[in-house]
Amino acid sequence: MTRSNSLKLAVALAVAGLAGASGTAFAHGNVTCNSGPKDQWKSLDALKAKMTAEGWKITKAHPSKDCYEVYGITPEGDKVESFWHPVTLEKRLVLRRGQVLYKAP
Amino acid sequence: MMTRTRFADATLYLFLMLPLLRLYADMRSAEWVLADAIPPSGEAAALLMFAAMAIGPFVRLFGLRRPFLQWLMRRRRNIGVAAFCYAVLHLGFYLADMGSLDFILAEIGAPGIWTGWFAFFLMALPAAASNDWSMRLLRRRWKLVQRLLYGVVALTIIHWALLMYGWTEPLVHAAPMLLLYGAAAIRYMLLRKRTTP
Ligand code: HEM
Repeated sequence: MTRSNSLKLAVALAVAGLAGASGTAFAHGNVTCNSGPKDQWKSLDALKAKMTAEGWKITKAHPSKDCYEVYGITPEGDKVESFWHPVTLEKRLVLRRGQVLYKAP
Repeated sequence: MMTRTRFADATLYLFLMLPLLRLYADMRSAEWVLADAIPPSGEAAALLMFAAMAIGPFVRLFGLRRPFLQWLMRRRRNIGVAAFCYAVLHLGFYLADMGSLDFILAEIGAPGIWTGWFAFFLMALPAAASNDWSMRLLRRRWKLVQRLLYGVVALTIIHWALLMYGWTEPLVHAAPMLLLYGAAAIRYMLLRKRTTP
């Protein structure tokens, strides 16, 4: 491999990655829940209870901007990162490593 | 002189272990889960790799006369191998957190993930060749193996941007190294113009 070939390899990899990335990038950055003041929020424990009852396995849960963010395993058995509305406890977004598995309408 | 080099070496080795301290400090938090160790170990791998790669253009720009730069050039390999060790740790935390082959395979097609795997395997070759024996064996081809790292840089930046949701962080961290490469390339072109009429 020559110098120019290795540069070509770097560029090719960058382009391939960008092409693959362009469709999926940064869904997480856009997630909002418009959940209003925090004193109106239901507790994180309430969300965890609801999710567990639905068949989720929870690894970690915490507030993230105006949503609740939960790492865990879905009832279908996917290991994901998910976002929930803190007032309605409605599922907003489910991501697996940047790829959208579910997005609330 | 000898003691100064020893002091520099000791400082460097302590510095290379700092990310371990950070991981350990994180771990002591009550809320810590295994997945929390994935980003800091990846960051250590990426930043040390960028640092090791910045030394080449830095030395090309400033020359090798200064003892400090000679020392840096000799220690470049240690920094690069440390970067790979953190990548191994990063992968270890990932595998341990995933915990099953099914989960790993389910997401291997995600661009954020396959770029990580690809970067890792591409990085393993120059890491494996980072010893005197391989250098002698490979001779001129050793340089070509090290050039795989350009691909690793591109993949790492994409991997980082996709999984942490933004280009700013990876690009800002890679910028000093990329700028040094740019400056060294410009200097090279200017010098060549001057010497070839
Ligand atoms: C072996 C295959 C690899 C896998 C499966 C992998 C997996 C991951 C995962 C899952 C994350 C995100 C964690 C989260 O969302 O909390 C991540 C982040 C990251 N990885 Fe990797 N990775 C791999 C290889 C690498 C390599 C080779 C490097 C660099 C040399 C690297 C550098 C990074 C960086 C810089 C981050 C973001 C850290 C931050 O924002 O603080 N990864 N990786």
